[in-house]
Amino acid sequence: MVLIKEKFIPLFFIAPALAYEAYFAFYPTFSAVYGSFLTASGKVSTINYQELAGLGVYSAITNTVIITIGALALQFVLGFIIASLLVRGFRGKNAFSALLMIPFATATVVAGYIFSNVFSPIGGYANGTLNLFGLSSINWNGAGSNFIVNIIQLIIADSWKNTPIVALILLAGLTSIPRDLYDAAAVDGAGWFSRLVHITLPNLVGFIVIALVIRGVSEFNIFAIALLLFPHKLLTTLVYGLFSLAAKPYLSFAGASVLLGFILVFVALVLALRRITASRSGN
Amino acid sequence: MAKKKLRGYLIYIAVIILSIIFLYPLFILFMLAFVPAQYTIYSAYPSLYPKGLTLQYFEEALKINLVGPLIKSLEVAFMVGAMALAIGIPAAYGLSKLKPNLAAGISTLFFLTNMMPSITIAIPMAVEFLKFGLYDTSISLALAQELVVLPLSIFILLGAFQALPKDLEAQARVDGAGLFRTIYMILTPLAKAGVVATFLIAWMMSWDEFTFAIFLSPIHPTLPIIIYENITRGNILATSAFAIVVTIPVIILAVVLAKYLRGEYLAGGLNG
Amino acid sequence: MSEYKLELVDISKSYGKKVIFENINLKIKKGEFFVILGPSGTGKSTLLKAITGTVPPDSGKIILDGNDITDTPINRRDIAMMFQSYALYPNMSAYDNIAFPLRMHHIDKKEIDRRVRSTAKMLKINDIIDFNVTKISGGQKQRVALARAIVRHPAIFLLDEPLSNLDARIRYTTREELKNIQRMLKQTFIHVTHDQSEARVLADRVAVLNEGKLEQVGTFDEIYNYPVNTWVGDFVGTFPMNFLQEARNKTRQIGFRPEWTRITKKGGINAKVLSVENISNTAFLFCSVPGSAKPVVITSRRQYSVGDKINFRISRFNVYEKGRLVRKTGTAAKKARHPLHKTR
Repeated sequence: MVLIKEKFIPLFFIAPALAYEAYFAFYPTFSAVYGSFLTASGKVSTINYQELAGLGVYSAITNTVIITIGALALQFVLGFIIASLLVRGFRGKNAFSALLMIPFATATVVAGYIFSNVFSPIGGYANGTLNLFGLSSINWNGAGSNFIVNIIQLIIADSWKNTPIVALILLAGLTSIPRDLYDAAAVDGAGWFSRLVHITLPNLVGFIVIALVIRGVSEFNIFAIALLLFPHKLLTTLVYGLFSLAAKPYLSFAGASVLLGFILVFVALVLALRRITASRSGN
Repeated sequence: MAKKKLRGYLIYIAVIILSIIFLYPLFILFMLAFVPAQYTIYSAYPSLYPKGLTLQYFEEALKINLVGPLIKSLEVAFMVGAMALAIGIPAAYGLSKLKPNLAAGISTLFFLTNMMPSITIAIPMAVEFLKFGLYDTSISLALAQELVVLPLSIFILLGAFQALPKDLEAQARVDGAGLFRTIYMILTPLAKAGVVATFLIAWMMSWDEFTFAIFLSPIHPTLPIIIYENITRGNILATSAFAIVVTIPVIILAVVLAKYLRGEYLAGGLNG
Repeated sequence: MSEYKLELVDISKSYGKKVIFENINLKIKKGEFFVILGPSGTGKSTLLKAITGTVPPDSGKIILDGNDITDTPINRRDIAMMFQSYALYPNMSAYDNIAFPLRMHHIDKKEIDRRVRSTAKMLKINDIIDFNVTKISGGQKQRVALARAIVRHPAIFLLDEPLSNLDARIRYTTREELKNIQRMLKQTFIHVTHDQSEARVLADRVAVLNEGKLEQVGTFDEIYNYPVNTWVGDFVGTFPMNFLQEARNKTRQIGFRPEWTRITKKGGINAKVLSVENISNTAFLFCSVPGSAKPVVITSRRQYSVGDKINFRISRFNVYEKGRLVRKTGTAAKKARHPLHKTR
């Protein structure tokens, strides 16, 4: 039996995961980033980026950012409402939390497919419902459709699938807050708003950050749902763009645009991490 | 008193609205699959409730090759779950021995690897797998999907291990158990809920995964790819029925095992 | 073979800048019941964990039976430890908990069964042995943990506050039992506690630990009668040792125990009774004495009331120079045991 110094035990156990990540993630990532700065003849250059700019990468980036922010906002608002309902208990609570599992267990492709039937350019279930309430139809994703409308339906479809995860994490956060705190605050005369601001949110920060990291990364990479909702590239997200490019031998392009996405999300994550540490030291 | 009653009503109104939101898309899927097409996709404004029933599309759906992709999906999902535990448990144990801040830093580093879009990694990966003769195999797809799954798995398991009393490990070692036996005989059984949650979430993420699957396993595809292919081929109605066949069992599974899908596990490190 | 069971040579441990203990040197004799006494949070538990290896010391050597075990893997040191939390494996029955260390040492199944059952019988837990450990009482948990430690016949037993989680009533009887078990096994026990009554009753020798430093090692009576410094005098004893400034020398103090005083009709020191505490037949009088900020505690057979003016003489005292013991005086006092010995 090999003797491991107690000091190195953690490293020894983390090593397989590190090795796996290094080989399958770090290495391809760095070579993609490196490749994005190479021309076909192997010279270092930014030509790929220039070409990419010509292909309209900016709109893909703006679309991705808007979708990410919008989807996170919707998922957090709905998730918080659901978590607040579940934390207080009511008759039928178990049935309601079972319903949460429906989107959770539905494959993204299936969700995308369902919503592509909901949002039809003319007619469709969404317009049918709008008409029911006396509202006029919307051209959701036909030719000449408004890109804000496109983004909204993508956000709705994605949020249907992913709100339950956010709700579950926020519910964990809400249950972790001792009831005494609320009672004490109520005794001190705090109304529901100041309880929300002074007790709920500060105690929830860590959970919010985790949900943000888990969901945010996926939102930036949003692809399958977009592919199913807009099979004709009506609305390109960053990864959808990569998918279109990947079919062509433009590997370095892909690498280039990826780098941009990488940096964007990286910044978002560092900000999130800073908040994690801030909340830790604050406790 | 009246205020309290009003709040009770408000809760139920919110619950009913949210329930409809969760259920309605599934209901639409059922209508597409079991209501004659003239009331659904062939009418400009499809009926919002079932106006008839047919099993025709369901029968057509059964003609879609289910068995091969099902086996492939199951195989890959179980591999992804098993690998998540095989790599994740040691890593989480190792991290739990470090200072919490350092452990949080490293597990965030793992999350960073998720930043890279799957597509960018999938293509060079496909090249590598071709070299090793692993292209299109279940193991290669599982290895790729593990990238998305592992960071979250480590995070969940880290929370589970950090929550265990420190003395137990010391006691087992003093009692004469080696490091490996301590981890597998004492710590892992005690972290059971976290371990099950990890496996389940890894399994479901693999079941749902699309991007790696389409690039790395085009010849023997998984279920999501089959669904996608049939939609692009215009085989819409049968696909609806097919989608139901593959979705309902997972929903039932998730409802039955819901106690392991709690946010406490997803929020892993926070409870430690 | 060394005459000592366990030797700690210059061991230190710190977490970053926080020193847990520093340069600890200890020699523990074979078959000794050794108690490490100190206030909470002074590194006692960490010292025990350093001996087991679960918290490896930064420097120094640990020698068990003459062998350096500093770098020996934890599971191959012949040490049993009982944690303050009992650290029972919650997924196992009491039986499996007790059998666990034997199984880890590859002992024959029949022998394991025999030893688990006889140990359980000795500790009177044979009727709960098949219960899950989460379903038994605190006292029973303590016994299961103790059984798990002694079932192995290790070279040395480490007990970390083994009695502190028990109700007062069970604590006294268990304390006696623990002493009996040690006498029966004739093994070396190291017992960590913050409770000096445990040190007094159990210990052959006591080490007093304060903020990671060893203050004094000796029998309880030695430490009680001749604390090496004012801190030990203050910490050890039901009531702290009294210290009075010497009139002629500002750096010198005399230290005396409450029972080293005698109330007189005249002369001696004038004092005023501030409060009275009765333990058995003895009254402990807290008195204000001119020139002393802290109340002085003296004993009396007679009852006094608050506000009474009394005179007392000191029959025996130690001399402290800048807080350190420089002179032991005291006559026949060597054998004088403090009054609590007679009670309980």
